[in-house]
Amino acid sequence: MREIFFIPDRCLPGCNACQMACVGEHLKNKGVLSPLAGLPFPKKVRSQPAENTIKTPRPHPVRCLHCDPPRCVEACLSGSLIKNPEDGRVGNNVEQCIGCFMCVVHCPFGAIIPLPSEQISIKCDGCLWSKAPACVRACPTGALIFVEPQTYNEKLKMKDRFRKRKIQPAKLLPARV
Amino acid sequence: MRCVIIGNGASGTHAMLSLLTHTPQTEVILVTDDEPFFYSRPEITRLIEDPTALKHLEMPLPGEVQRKLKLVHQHVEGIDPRQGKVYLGNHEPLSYDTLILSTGAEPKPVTVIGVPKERILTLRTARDALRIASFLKDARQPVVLGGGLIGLKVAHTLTLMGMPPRVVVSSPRILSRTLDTESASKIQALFEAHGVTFHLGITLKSADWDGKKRQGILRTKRRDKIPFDILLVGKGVSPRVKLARNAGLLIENGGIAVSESMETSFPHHYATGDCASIFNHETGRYENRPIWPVAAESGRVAGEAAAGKLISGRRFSTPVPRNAIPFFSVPVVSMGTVTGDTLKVTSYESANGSVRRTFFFNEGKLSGATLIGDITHAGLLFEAIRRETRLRKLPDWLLQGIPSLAGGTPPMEVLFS
Repeated sequence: MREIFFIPDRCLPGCNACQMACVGEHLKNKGVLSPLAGLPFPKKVRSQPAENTIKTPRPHPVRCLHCDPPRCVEACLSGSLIKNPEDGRVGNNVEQCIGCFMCVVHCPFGAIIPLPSEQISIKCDGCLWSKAPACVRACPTGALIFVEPQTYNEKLKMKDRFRKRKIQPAKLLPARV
Repeated sequence: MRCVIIGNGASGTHAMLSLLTHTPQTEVILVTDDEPFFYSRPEITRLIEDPTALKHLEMPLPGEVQRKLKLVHQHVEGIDPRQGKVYLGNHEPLSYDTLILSTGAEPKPVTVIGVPKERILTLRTARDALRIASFLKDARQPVVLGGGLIGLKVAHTLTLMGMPPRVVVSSPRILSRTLDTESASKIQALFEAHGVTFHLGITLKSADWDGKKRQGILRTKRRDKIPFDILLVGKGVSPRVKLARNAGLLIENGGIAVSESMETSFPHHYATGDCASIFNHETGRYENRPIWPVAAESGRVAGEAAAGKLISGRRFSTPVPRNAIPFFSVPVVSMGTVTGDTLKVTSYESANGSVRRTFFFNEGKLSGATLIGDITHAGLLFEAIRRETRLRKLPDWLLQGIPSLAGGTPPMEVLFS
């Protein structure tokens, strides 16, 4: 299963294209300008400054890890969270959600965000309906990539090896997926 | 292989789902006398407000599961574990290879001397909720017995309907098992601001009932008088084990005794959900915890065990109490052990008083937390409580619920490194 990975040293601070794309993708009219109207942006945490590469911490999205067995799905009282038996992804049907926040309590990664004013909770669904998630498609620098975890690990190992040889590491990862 | 599941609650549904996912060739028969087949039991208070909301409570099932599943709408009279037969209400025996009992729990019975039985209403199934809705049409002074989560949820629904009830609680404060004293008084103030009246520390003695006016007066031991015309009981549940007891299965602490793979004292007989009691190695006795996520997890484990696909990492773990519930759009979360004299307490309250986050430590380990108003990092905290994480000092972002950590490490790595 492909996952979203974040490469901090490629991220442009203050760009926010990924957040705008996420809000736009999950609106009914898929509007690009609607996110500017003050709708809640997806949550971010700041990553630790890594040695050698980045000097200041950069924010990156908290994403769902699609656990097996998914505790949020077992805790969901309304049946809005469903695990797809074929690819193992956990999707969220917001229209069915009643805002009981049981899923928020059960997610050990804090990837589900409660919105008490709207009486719903939201999570990254990986844009199940499209080829690649909206944030990945919108990222202008390729800081977000959508690849298999195995591929990512192999590339990281290669990156480490080449770093010792003082070769530019960012060129080794796929620019856009 | 034929597997019979008795009961349509969270555990029965999840057992059926995991069984059909792992072994699609199994013939699964689900027997229940409840209607509809799959719906959200904790949300039935919505039916009191709007009886037509039943279709919104129904839980969607994958299409393939719907095709494979066989549903039997019958009452179960008895089971014979030695011959592998279930006797249905129409006296037809149904043979099985594996049986999963998810008979659930029933509300604790309450009798008040002088009140007719039909005026004391309990809440467990959709049918009960619809019955309460029909009674409430001509009710003016509803009284809720019990200040736990069920009682308050009913009181919340009645208040939203414009009928704020009187809540009679036997303990000196509301939510005495779920929240600490200060947090509970905050919730009480929230309810009182919406017009709900609380009578705390009350022991009911008897009642006078006027059949013509359909009104009555509850009398307490302290000689208080509480007018009422309908009594709604929310005083907790006890496991339904009649079938299992008659069949000779081992009963412990009121529930059916089960192992970590949810197997009962008979092989190939599983018990899941509210009717099962599991051994807690810390306290040294069997415990029963009737909440939805525990029921769903036990159902999944039983389904995997019945399919022969249970691996050690996916076994049922000793359940940690937890609950999340919004009252008047204020989210309330309670996790772990939150009552006890030996616990050390750290709390944070926002300047305007709308947020209160309280943390409980037992011998340096995080043992429980109650969050009101702001439930940020609730999942991380629950994981820390489940793993009994030792924390020297609670970080500010966790105490105050700051979502983004300026310059800090990701939360998971701080807590569990």
